[in-house]
Amino acid sequence: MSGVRREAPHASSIVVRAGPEALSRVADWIRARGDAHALAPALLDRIDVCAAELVANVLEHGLGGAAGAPVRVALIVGEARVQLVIDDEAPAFDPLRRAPRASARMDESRVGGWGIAIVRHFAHELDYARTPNGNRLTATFLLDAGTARAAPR
Amino acid sequence: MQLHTNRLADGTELVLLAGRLDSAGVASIEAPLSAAIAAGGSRVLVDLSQVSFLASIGIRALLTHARTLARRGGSLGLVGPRAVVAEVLDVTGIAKIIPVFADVEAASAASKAPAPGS
Repeated sequence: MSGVRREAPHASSIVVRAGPEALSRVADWIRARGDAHALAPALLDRIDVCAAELVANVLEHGLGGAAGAPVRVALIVGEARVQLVIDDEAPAFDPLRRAPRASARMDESRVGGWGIAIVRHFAHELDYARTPNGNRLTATFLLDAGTARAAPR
Repeated sequence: MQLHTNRLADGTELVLLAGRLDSAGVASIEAPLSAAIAAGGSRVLVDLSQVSFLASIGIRALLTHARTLARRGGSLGLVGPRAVVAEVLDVTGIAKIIPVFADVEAASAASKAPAPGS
C-alpha cells in the first residue's frame, strides 16, 4: 500500500425532474456546489451557463418537452479540472452532432440554437456517450490560471 | 429579475436589468420590457451591468426586441455587460448586430457621432 495518499476527486450530484422548475433548481445547486468548492467566480459563471444550456437542451430536444423524466447533474471537482456531467433517460440524442449555428442575423426568422455554440466556447472539452438508459454529456473545465479557485478569504 | 426604466435627457429610454436573464428572468420581465420599448422613443439602451447570467433564452428576448425596434426605424443598444455576458454576446454573434457599449456615456457619444460616410 502506497504511503502517498491522493485525495479523490469530489463528486456530488442532483436529480431534477423535467419541468418548469428544473433549470432554476440546477442553477441553485451549481452555484451552491461551486461556492462550497471555492471555485473562482469566473469559472463558476461558465459552468453555470453551460449547465443551463445543456439541461435546457435535454428538456427541449432530448425529452421533447415531456415533464417528469429525471435528469441527473453531477459536478466532479478534481485538482486540475472540473467536470459537469448531465445524464438523462431520453432517446438517443447527441447535441454535439448538430450542425454548428451560424452567427445571428437581424433579418433571419430563426431565433435560437445558440446553446451548443455557447457550451463549445466555454468548455475545454465535450464528450457525448450513449448510456444503457439514455445519454451522457460531459463538459470539462480546466482549473487554469484564469479560472482557478478563489483565493482564501 | 428586476427592471427599472429611465428616460435620458436626449430621449433615449434606458432600461436597467438586474439578476439572471434565464427562462424565469425573461418571463418576469417580458411584459414590462415590451411596455417600456413600446412606450419609449426610437432609441433604447438596455443596461446589462447588473445581469449576472445570460443564456440562449435571454438572447432570444433581446434579439426579438431589437427587431421590433428596427422595424419601426429605431435601435437597441446594450450597455456594460459583465465578462461572461459579453462573451456570450460575442460567441453567438449578437454583438455584431446589436451594438454593445462600455457605458451609457459611450452609447450617447456613438449616437451623436456622424454616420460612417456622411
